[in-house]
Amino acid sequence: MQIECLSCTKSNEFLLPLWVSTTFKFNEDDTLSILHLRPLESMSEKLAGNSSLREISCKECGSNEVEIIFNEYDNQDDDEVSALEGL
Amino acid sequence: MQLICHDCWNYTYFEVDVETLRELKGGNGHLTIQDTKFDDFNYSQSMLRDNLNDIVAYVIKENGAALIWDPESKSYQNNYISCARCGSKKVTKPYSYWHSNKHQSLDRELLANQKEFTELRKERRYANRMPVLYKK
Repeated sequence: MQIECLSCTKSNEFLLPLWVSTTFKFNEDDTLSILHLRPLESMSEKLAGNSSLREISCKECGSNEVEIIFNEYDNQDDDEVSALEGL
Repeated sequence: MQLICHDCWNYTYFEVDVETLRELKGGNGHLTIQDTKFDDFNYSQSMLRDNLNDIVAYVIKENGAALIWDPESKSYQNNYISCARCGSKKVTKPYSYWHSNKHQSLDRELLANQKEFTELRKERRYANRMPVLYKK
């Protein structure tokens, strides 16, 4: 699996927002303490869905134009096949 | 006392949905998921705490705006915060007052409160049940 930024094409770090259910308590001095975190979204499902493409952003340039390649060897095989056909 | 549940009168433990940020780091066909860090600053933890504080502060300040009318139960329910003891959304504030949280690592805080959270879940699961006698 590979993610590419179509804007800067350099970064390999990307940001993805996720929702979590947070259990917290009020302390005696009225401050908050977090007791537990439960993810509400599956990272893999979100990446596989098309909606995540708009939410993922490049950490380097902030662009949302990101391409997710699930199998980077697919294209390579096609290239090899076409090269052999050309010969 | 900041908020109170109108079903079980809990005023300590609550739940809220918060948006946080995760970082995907690619390389050599692998994808690593981790907290977002800028230099030494953990932005994921900071965003989680800020969003939690923002929602709680908003609910406390704009008490009425955070409530929606539920025609089935014929009562006002909180749109953001629910009770962690009974799961009810009938959460409102008795009065408004707020302090910012002192800084602490999220991992340490979760670890420190792990036992308390386990006790809380046990309480919810076995609260309305009679004791069971086991035969040897």
